[in-house]
Amino acid sequence: MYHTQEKWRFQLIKPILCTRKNAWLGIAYYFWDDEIDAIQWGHRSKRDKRYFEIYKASIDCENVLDTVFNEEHYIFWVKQIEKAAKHISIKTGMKTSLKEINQYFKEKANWAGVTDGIMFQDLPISDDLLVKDLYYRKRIQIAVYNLEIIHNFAFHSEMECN
Amino acid sequence: MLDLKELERRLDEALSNETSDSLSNWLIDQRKDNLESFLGVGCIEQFKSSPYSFNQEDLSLNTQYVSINKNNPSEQLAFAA
Repeated sequence: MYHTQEKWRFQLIKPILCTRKNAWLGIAYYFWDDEIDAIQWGHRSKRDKRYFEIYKASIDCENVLDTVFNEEHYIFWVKQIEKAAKHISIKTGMKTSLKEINQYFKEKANWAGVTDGIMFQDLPISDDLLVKDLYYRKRIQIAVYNLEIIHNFAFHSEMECN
Repeated sequence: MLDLKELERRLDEALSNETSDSLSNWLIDQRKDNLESFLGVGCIEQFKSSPYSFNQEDLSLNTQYVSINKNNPSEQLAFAA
C-alpha cells in the first residue's frame, strides 16, 4: 500500500501519523491501496513543497476491519453505521457525516482498542478511468491505528506537483 | 481474527449511555473542530478597500492585501495524512 507525503529534506523511515481534525477515519496512519490514488492525492493535497513522495509498505490486515473485500465485515459495518446513525438522528435531529460516524466508533465506542485499523472505499476522483461515468475501480484507503502492523516501509517514488 | 462481537458490544454500550444533550454537544464539538480546521483559530478582519475602486495607485498606496493566519493550526499540520 502507498503513503503520500510532501517531500522533506530527509526520506521518512516510518509513516507520518495524520492528526488533522477533519481526517476521515480519525487519527491514524493513512495508506492508499492503489498507486494512482496515492499520486492523485499528492497532486491535490501535498503541494506545499512543490514535490511529494510516495512510500510503499506491507500492512498486516489480520486484525483490520476490512469493509472492502471481507463480506462479513462489510455487512457488519453497514449494520453498525445504520444503527449508530439512526440513534444519533433520533436523539439529536441531526444527520451525521462519514467523518463523524467514524470518529464516534473510534472515540466513543473505543474501537481502536479492538481493531488495528479500518479499510474503506469510495469512488475514484482521478482521471484514469477508461469508461465515462463507470466507477469500476474502487478508491481504497486504510487507516492504521497500530504502527506495528506496517512492515517494509520504504521510499517508492518522487513527483513534482502539477 | 477481528472480534466483531466485541466491536458491536462497545458500540451498543456507548449508544445506550448517550442522552440527547450528550450526543448533541458531541456533534457540535465535532463540527466546531471541522470549522476550525478549515478557517484556523483567530479573528476575521474586514479589508479596508472599496470593492468598487480599481485605481492601481490607490491600491499600492493605501491598501494592504494580507491573507495569512499565524494561528491556523491546519497550516502547521499540512504535512499530515
